[in-house]
This record gives sequence, C-alpha cells and structure tokens, in this order.
Amino acid sequence: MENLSCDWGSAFFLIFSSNVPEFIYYSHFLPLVSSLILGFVVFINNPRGLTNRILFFITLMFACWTYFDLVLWASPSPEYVIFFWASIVPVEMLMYTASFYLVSVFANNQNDISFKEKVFIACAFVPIVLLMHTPLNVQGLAPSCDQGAIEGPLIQYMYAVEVVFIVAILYILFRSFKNSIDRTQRAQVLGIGLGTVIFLTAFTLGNVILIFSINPAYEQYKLFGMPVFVAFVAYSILRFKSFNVKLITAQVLSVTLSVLILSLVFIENLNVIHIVTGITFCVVSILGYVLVRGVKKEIALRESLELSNTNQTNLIYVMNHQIKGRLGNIKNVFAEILGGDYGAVPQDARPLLQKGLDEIETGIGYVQNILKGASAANSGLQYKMESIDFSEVVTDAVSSLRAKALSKGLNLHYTTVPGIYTIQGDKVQLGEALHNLIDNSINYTLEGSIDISIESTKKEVVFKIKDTGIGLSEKDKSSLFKTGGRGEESLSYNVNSTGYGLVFVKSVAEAHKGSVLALSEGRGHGSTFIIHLPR
Amino acid sequence: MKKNKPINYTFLFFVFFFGSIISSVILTYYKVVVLKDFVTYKTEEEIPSPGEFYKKFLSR
Repeated sequence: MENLSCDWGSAFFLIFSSNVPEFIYYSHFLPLVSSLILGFVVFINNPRGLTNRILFFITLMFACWTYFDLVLWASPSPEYVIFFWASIVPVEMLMYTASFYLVSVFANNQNDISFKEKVFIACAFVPIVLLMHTPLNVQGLAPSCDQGAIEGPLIQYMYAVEVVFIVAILYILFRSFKNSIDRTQRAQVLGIGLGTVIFLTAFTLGNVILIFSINPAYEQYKLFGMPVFVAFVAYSILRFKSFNVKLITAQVLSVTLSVLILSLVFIENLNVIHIVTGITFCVVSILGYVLVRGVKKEIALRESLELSNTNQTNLIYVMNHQIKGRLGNIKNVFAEILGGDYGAVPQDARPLLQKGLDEIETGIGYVQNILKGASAANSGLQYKMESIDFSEVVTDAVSSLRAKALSKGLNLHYTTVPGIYTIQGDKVQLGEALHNLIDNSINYTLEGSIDISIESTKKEVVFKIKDTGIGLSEKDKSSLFKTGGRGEESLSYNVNSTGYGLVFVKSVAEAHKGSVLALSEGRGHGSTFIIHLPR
Repeated sequence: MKKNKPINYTFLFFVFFFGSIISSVILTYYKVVVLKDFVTYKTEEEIPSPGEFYKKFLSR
C-alpha cells in the first residue's frame, strides 16, 4: 500500500502512531471515555427508554467520530485518509440529528416526535447518501501532509445543516421556555438543551476554525464540548432524575475525573502540559461543581423525605387503627341490627339500615385502597414470589369484573395469544393490580368496549387493556402513576377514585422487574394500559 | 387466536434510513480503498478552483 509522501511511521489499529501529537490523544480520549461511560450507564439503566436510547446513540456516534478523526491524524495510508474523511460526514450528521431529536423529545414531554417529522429530518441526509462516494464529498488527497484531504461542497452543505440544527434547537428551547407551564419540565428541557447547544456549537466552531485555516490545533477544543454536555446531562440526572438513572451518575463523574487526572501522567512535553492542565482545570471545575451541588441537593432531599415518611407512617397508623377500626365497629352494629340480634327490625327501617351498611362497606374499601397504595408507594408491600400461570391470574381478574362491565352495557373482550405464561410472581398482588386496571377501564368508559389481551414472548409476558373511555390528556399521563395523582376529570366519573390505584399497579409491576405504560391519543379517544413482565 | 400485527412504519423507516447510510459507506469503501479511485494532488497549483472543479465534475 502506497503511503503519504510524508515522513510518517505506520499506525497500530489505524490510530496509534508517533505522527500524532500527545495532546491530540488527550483531546480525543478524554471526551470519548466520559461520553461512552455516561452513554452506557444511561442505556443499561433503562434500555427501553426513548431518551436513553437517543443519548446512547449520540455517545456512540461521538465515539465513531473521535476514532475516525484519530485515523486521519495517524494513518499514513492515503486510501484510509480519504475513506475516513468521507465517512466522517454521515457520522457527524447523525450526531447532530440525534442531538436535535433528543431535545425535541424532551420538549415534547418525553414523547416521540411524529412520523412525518422524522421523514422531514431524514430528508437532510438525501444528498449525503447519494453523493458521499463522489468527489463532491472529498475532492482528493492534498499535497500537504498536514492538510490531509481537500473537502468538496458536500461538506460545506453538512456545515450549513449543522447550523440549521443548532438554530432549530435554540428555537425549541425558546418555545418550550415560553409555553411550558410545568417549571420542572421547563428547567429540564433547558438543562439538556443548553448542554446540547454548547456541545454542538463548540463542534461547529471547531469546523469554522478549520475552514479559515487558523491553527488546526485549536480545532481540538471542539471536542471539549462533549464533557460540558456530559456535565449538563449529569446535572439533569441528579436534579430531575432524567433518563431514570439514579445516583450512579456520581460514580460516572468520579471515573471521568480520575481518567482526566491520570491522563496527565502520559504527557511528556512541557509546552503541552500548560494547555492540558488548563483544560483539565476547567472540566474538573465544572464536573466538581455539578457533583457538589448534586450531593447537597440529595442530602436535603433525603432529609425532607425522612420527615415526609415519618408523617406518612403516622397518618397510615391513624387511618389503620382509628378510622378503619371505627368503621369496622359501625359495620358490625349495622350488621347485627339487620341480622335481628336486637329483635325484629321494622320493615320501614330496613332499606335505610341496609343503605347505611353498604355505605360503611364502601368507606372501608376506600380506606383499604388508600392504605394499599400508600404501602406500595413506601415499598411496604410484601411479595410471595413463586412460579405462577399469568394467564390464570388474568382470567380470574376478568371473570370477577365481567358482570360489572355487562351491567354498564360495555362489551368486554378477552383474547389470549397461545403461548407459555409461566412467570415468577405474586399471584395475589398481581391479581389485585390487574383487577385495579380493569375496574378503572370500566369506571371511565361510558359506552363502547374494553379489549383485554395477553401475549407471551421468550423474554416477557404482555398484558394490554384498551378501552373506548374518556382517554387521558398529556397532563393526566404525567401525574397518573404518582401518589395521589389522578386524571383531571377523574372524580366526575368515579367518585371513589383515591389517586392511589395506579401507584399500586406500578409498584406491583416494578416489584416483578416489569413496567406499566399508559397510552392515549387524548381526551375522548380512549386509553390503553400495557404491563410488561419479564419471564 | 393470533392477530395479524400491523405494519410498523417507524421500524421500516429506520431500517431504510440506516440501510441507505451503511450502503453509502460500503460503496465509498469499495470505491476508495478497493478501487483506489481518487485524485492525489502533487502541488497546490493542481488543486482546482470551485468553478473548475464543478466543470470537471459535470463533464465526467
């Protein structure tokens, strides 16, 4: 293979070569390691989460970009220089597109964007897919070793699209800031959005430096936008529990800081060490600030949680021993009178006494529901895990509520896809959770039908209940599974709604290492609840 | 009773999208690394101006 006509040695794994100045490895490996650690942690914590997947994809594309760029610095092979120079274009575009997608999803209350919007964004890739292999992408190999390759108009097109993406993200941030009512969501979108804007702007500025041929070494600063992005995402995780990641983020930041400091050991050139130390100081300061602030907030939060837990435990004690006990005593009095223990009951008084007994029973059920939900929210429920047939649990729950559905004139369909439904679970708690979901569907469906189905795959069993009921607004969906949370119009349709039913369902699903999901196209369009349970 | 699953257009879209990008990368690899079909400029003077470049590209 013919080498560049430069005095360059060969490169191991295409990237390790004496041709490359030490600070280039520093500027590439540090952001690469910090981003990949964060990407993997976020993805492993919740592989099904859309934002988790997108963030993971961004970090993967960033890793690819960094590797490709190192090949351009290290490889003496002209073929590889041209190939990686050309291939860096779709990788860079994918990184920008995914970043835009991430901010859009956050601004959309963590819901996916529409199919049409996806197709529209993908159209930006058409020229790249069609012209990537032509000289319009990379014109050819430059005569100078430092220059590498001569870029074609397709790369200028990419820079222009990148600027459009940055402006679009700024617009989304502005719109979200202006329109969002929920302060937490607004702050979360701003945090992720600003981190993304700094990351992408640093990258684009690096490209601008390259176009105007200012010292190419300055281009390396563009990669340090990634640790800043990592810091913003980490802050968002600590502050808002974004991406459903817990305090493991602090560990990621600690590893990143260690990598940063360790990398200084490998710098031998004293002229370079000033620059590297300066950059390290900036990154350590930002990440350190994020860490300290996050830990402070965690401590404050824990203290307030402990207080709140004590109050809640007291409340549950009062409800359990005082209110439920008193109601039970009253129920016994009504039952004994109606049973004739104190002599014959006059016929005129019987309906009134029966109504009293029914009301007391409803009240006891109501208190029990709150206690169950509160216990679930405090992880106070006990589970007896054993091998059970999930289809049997569903069949029992459906049978127990079929009469209620029919009495409301609703069609209740139950479909089982043939398969094996054996799972490890607690039959009683799962039955209660399914009973809750089906009962909810009946309560919130005035007319039409309720379709229940279960299916089984190698990895999981899926329970789905779809109704033609009142549906859910975006606001309902965000508060549905929270303690005391219920739909805006919930009490108009179900006066006995406690706001604890779905907390209990979620808690049971999570105790089985599963999840519960609520879908609805909005008010009046019905709703669908899906439970995934691993096998 | 097994129900027919509806076509997942989003999945098809992603397959098509990433498929076309990966195909372009493979085509570029074949053209550049296997066929070595690219220009090597020996001097700065050889590098065409944008006008000359377009003229040359369109006449190919």
